[in-house]
Amino acid sequence: MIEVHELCKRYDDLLAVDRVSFRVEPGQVVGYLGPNGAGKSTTVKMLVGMLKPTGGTARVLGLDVATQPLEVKRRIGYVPESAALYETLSGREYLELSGRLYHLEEGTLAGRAAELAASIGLQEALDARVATYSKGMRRKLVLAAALLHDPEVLFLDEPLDGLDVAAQALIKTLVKRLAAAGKTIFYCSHILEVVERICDRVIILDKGRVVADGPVDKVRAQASSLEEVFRQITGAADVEAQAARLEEALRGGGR
Amino acid sequence: MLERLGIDRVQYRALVRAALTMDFRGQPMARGWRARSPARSLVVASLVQGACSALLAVGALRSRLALETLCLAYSTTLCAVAMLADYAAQVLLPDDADILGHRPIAPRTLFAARVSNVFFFMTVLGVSLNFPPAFLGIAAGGGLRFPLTYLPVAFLADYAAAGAVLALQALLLRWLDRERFKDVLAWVQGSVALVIFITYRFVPVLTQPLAGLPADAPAWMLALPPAWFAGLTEVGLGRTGPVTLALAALALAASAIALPLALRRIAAQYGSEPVRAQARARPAERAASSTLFRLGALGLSGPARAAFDLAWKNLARERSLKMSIFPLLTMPVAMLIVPIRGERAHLGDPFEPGTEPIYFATYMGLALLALFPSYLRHSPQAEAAWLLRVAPVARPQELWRGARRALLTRLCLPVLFAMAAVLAFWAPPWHAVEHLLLALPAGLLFASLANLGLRDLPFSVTRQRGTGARTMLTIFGMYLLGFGAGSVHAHLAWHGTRGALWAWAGGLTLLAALFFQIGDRRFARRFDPDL
Repeated sequence: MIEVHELCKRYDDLLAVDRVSFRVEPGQVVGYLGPNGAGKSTTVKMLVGMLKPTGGTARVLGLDVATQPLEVKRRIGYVPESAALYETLSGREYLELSGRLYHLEEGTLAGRAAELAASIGLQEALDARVATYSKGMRRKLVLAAALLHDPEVLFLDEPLDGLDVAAQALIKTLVKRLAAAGKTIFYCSHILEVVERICDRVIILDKGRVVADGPVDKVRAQASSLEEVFRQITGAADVEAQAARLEEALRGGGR
Repeated sequence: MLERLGIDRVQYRALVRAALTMDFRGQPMARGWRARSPARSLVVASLVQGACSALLAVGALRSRLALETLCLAYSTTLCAVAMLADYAAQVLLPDDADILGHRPIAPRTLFAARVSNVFFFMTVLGVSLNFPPAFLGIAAGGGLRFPLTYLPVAFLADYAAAGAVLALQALLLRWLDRERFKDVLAWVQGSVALVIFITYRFVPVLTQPLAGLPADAPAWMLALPPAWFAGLTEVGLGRTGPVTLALAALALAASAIALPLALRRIAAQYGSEPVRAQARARPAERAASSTLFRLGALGLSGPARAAFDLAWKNLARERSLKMSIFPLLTMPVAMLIVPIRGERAHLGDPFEPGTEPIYFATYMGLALLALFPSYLRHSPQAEAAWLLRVAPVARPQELWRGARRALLTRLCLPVLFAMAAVLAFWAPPWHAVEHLLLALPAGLLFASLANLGLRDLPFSVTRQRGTGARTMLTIFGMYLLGFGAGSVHAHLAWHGTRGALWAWAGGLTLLAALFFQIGDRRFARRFDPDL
């Protein structure tokens, strides 16, 4: 479960996250949407203990992320937007490194790493260096590392980025199954179709503030599609006018 | 003018400006700490180095040509090394192809921007290095005109030296593929660093003959390229004898060959596609199966064990880390082996009076080993450290405990065994081991002092260009520390009892343990997971 109340993050003059509040129940899959720079990744980084909030409170599984970050980190999994990895390690070694950081018992770690790699389609590349992995393979490895310690809450930041169609389908199904097993999934994405298909609820963020929050069906009912709602809410409604202006600028009309 | 050379002026300016902005801005060493500007560090470190060269050359004040030759030799060597260690790869193997590769930038423009950026740094380095010697020349009878003549010649010499290095490397790149070239480059860099650091050790010996230099520079000195540029300075100052004119002609010819040759060779590289070649698939080496590995990992679990594994594998596979540490590893042993001219008699049983070189070499070697943990801060994949920040690590110092253990087991212990073996050549084996055991606590103390300044997690900072000069200064400082500790030890060994020596060593061990505790606590307090 995730409870966020009046959460803020300020960088000097920039208020990246502005009094955000929401509550996510166990077993829920929440889509966290917003235009570029809306504060999605900043919110997630605060929830996973990588950034300190400058205001408000956030609790994950009943634990305060500001005062009990370690307890929170032990029970969550995180797939960051950028899949930065230690390239000199092999995939197996990376999973072992990750598991040891969570104090997984050696026997459990070896078995689970092999099992996860096999199920995600990485078994053949597991002993090759990460430097030789494709973007999709890196993404799979990060996802496997996030699941390794069987977290109760999963934070996924653009998890499908770079994955092939089959791997995308696998992740989407996996997310549904994990939610059915009672895990909480916090899903950040720009791909609205995916959010519509796998999330129970959406929270839309704009300029650091929550501008919409509710079940997917209910939010979608406000217009013809979730994309339309998104555009209306975030002020990007008049796409035609914007495109025309852009075209004009290219022709030199803006001079 | 740029357009006539086929260079897009706007792109050129944008590229140079961006490169300089990044160089001056630097990267934060850790969140909450101000970014260190590599350019600023370079200026400060080079000014100190320049002052050192001037001090060393004071002995040659009687011969102005010799003085100029020595100072120019120092600055050209450092510029050539800086080019080799820090800048050549930037020009020859730029790593921003992912960002620029798909942009419509003509190879010539990219080439010009890269070379300009590198030569800007060479200028900064040249000014800082040659500023102090330029004023020393006034005292050597050069008058107030000396700095005005010496400085432009010194720049020319530095550019020529850097150009020669670049040309040689570009030539090498024609025969080797990029990965192989990087390996060769790394080994060459390491070897040069080794020679330089060993030279520091022998500075007092090497500078002794300077005091006896005649008023005219000796003939052998005139064969050295820096002497040619010294001749050019002399011609600039109005001394137009046949020797100085010949030397000046050689200097101009060398510059006329080295610089255009370098530019032509590098330009040829830019004619081909600038996109970085994909790393060839290669399986990970088995680096975790040895007895030494199991021994080192004994008693470690959780984050400490994870950091041990990471450090162990990086020390086995990560090129830049290996190349920054491996050449230095040979130094403690080399310093005990290399016989010092005229002082061979002093390389004996350390418990016999008059064996100073053994003490200094042992302690300097240990001081050097104590610096190594700080090398584990760096990684070209520093971004991947997000994993360490997001993991539930209650005591972040545990990560350092694991990483330090890997370093100690994998690299430091074998070096210590090798040092004991070399010492046993001059002394009874027990004396060799006892000497080393007595010196070890000082090494621990040096390491604990270095540990006090730790701010970052292992492998969480990208190494910046321009930090080579600062590293050299730090090593020089550690040498001085080792020199001091060696003197105390020698005094106790010859004039005190064996018991007093062991008590001293015990005291140092306790002090080291205390400092490690303080350092670890400070690190845990400073540690901030904010990215």
